[in-house]
Amino acid sequence: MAFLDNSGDIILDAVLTDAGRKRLSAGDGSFKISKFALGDDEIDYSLYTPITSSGYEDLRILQLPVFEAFTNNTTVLKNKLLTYQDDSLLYLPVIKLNNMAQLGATTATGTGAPLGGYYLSVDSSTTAQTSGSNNGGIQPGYRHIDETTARTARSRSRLVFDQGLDSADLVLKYLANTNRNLLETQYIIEVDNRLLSLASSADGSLATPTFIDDDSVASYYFSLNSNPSFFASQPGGADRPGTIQEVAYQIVNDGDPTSPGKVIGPTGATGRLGSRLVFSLRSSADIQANTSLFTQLGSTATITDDAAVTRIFSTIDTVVRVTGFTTGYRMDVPVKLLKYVSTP
Amino acid sequence: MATSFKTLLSGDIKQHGTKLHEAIPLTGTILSGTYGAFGAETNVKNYSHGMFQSVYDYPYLSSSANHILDITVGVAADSGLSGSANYVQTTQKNDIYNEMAQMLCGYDATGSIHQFDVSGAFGSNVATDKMKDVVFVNFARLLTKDEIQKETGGGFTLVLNAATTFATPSTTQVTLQDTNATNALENSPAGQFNVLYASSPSVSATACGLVFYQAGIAVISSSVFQTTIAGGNSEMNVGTDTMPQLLVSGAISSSADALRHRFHNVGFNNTTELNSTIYMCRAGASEFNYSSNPTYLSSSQIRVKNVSTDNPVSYITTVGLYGANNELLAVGKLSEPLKKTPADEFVLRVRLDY
Repeated sequence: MAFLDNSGDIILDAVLTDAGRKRLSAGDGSFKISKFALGDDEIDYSLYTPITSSGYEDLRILQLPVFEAFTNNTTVLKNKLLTYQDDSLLYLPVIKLNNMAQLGATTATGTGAPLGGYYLSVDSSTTAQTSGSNNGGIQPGYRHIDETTARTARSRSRLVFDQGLDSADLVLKYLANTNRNLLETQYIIEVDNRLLSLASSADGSLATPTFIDDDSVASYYFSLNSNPSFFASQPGGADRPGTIQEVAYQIVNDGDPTSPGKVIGPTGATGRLGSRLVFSLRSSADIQANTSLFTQLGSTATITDDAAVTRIFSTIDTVVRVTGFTTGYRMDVPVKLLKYVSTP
Repeated sequence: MATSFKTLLSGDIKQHGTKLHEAIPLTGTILSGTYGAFGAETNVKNYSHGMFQSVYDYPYLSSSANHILDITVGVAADSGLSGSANYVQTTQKNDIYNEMAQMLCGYDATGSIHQFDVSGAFGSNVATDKMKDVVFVNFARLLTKDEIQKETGGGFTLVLNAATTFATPSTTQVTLQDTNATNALENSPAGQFNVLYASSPSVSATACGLVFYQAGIAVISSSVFQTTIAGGNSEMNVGTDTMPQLLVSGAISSSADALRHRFHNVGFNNTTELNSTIYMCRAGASEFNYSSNPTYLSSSQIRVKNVSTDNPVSYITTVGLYGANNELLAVGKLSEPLKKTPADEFVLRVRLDY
């Protein structure tokens, strides 16, 4: 007679993160563990081969080695496991950067560009050098986040993120009607607090970080109920609901007000539209006024614009990280901060 | 609504205490002979103040060196040696004796410092039990951790070479052991301690010192190198000085050198008191079966499913423990991915040691 499988109870040793050590050392009772989450950062699910012999579909996944624990609280558990009560879900929502011209913004291209992201001009001098004659006064791939422009022409500093089911198998509808459980209504945005801050694209008011960790990463938490000025409607569905999707703020499409302007669903007639997150980036006073952080963290780059004009900039590469609080989906937008140096 | 966090209930968090023991075998060659000629070892550090000598496990100028113990000597002010001629470092030896005595033996009702007593009764007035000329071996916290383990029959064993001749010291050996360790004495302000009993070809179970378990200090009477225990007066240096002579005419560092030369080995188990909190992270059948991993989806479709009736599958590699504001405070890793489906339930017992 064989032995019973006793592998259901697993013991593992944990290590404190830097944030945990900081809380513990404070001695003020702020070190209190109250919840847990599970992660699968090392797993590449593309290795899963469902059409194969039973038991072999995940052989390569189960052979993946697992890293020792990182102690930096921002670099572990990037991908959390999720609980949905419904086991029959075949699709899960994603978050996509809306890179449509004049609604979101076309992302940067070219050698050395932050592909899939943006160049960010951090002061008015740089903004003047990277302005364009069309496209709302801004070159493709650029966002103007200096204080003056970000206040007076907020659409130039705007980033737009659309959430939903990005599948060609689904006809165009709204998640709020079809599967409200997949609708994301809360977001966490993380940026380097030394470089960037967030503001409402609707009214220009600066947002307050929920907390700033020991690595100067500022986390902002926005929910549809509490922070409606950071949400907007996704247009396009025939069953557009009159409730949760109809937030007060509408993005003005400068070029074509009738354009649906959606990136969820590979065609205009497909996809399930969820929420739309909209915010403006604002450069910090430090990087607007001086170059010390560029010297410390960045380098210089020569960039040629659409009009074939070459300029030299001080640059810093960083990311804007957007995470759906309930659905857990997360995406990083690469950005390159620019500060104009000279025109050779 | 999707959730990624699960609240830990009061029944999911348990406190647990564990005592961890490591065997510490220390051979005499580390103290003398491995790193240079006797008297010029590069792992032995003498200080300009001359109050003690430090021994490392590697040349001390290297960043790889670990401090393992200090050696010093103390002579009571009323010792028979105190009035001797040509007494070297009288004040320092008295000061060391008094400092160690007040830390390890405490004070009497008048505030006077007790002297070391080989019976362990510091308040005793039996003059013959008082140890007035002693050698101290202070083990580093790196070795003793929280305390030296008390074991039945003796856990602390120190073997000294006690032959008369300086050049061939190991032909006779004296073994010092805390043979009554499980009945540790409690009347020291430095915690538990016990009497060290010497056995040699000449004697058996003769009290000749004390070992302090929490303080990690061995106090050895100079008599271990004399006739009553060793069977003869050991030559402690090339000048053939006996231990009492060396305590008078030699500096503290000379006495420390002499002890290192006579040090055969020491062995004990240390103790680390681990206070653990165990978090029972329960992943129920219907929980944590989906993932937010970017590779989990292809065009929003779950890769591990062909049709909606297929079971969702996820793979656990990491457990994160969070504070109330979702701040990650601790992380535990599995050794290999753990498959999770609606047919599985797991209790991941995550232990956090303090």
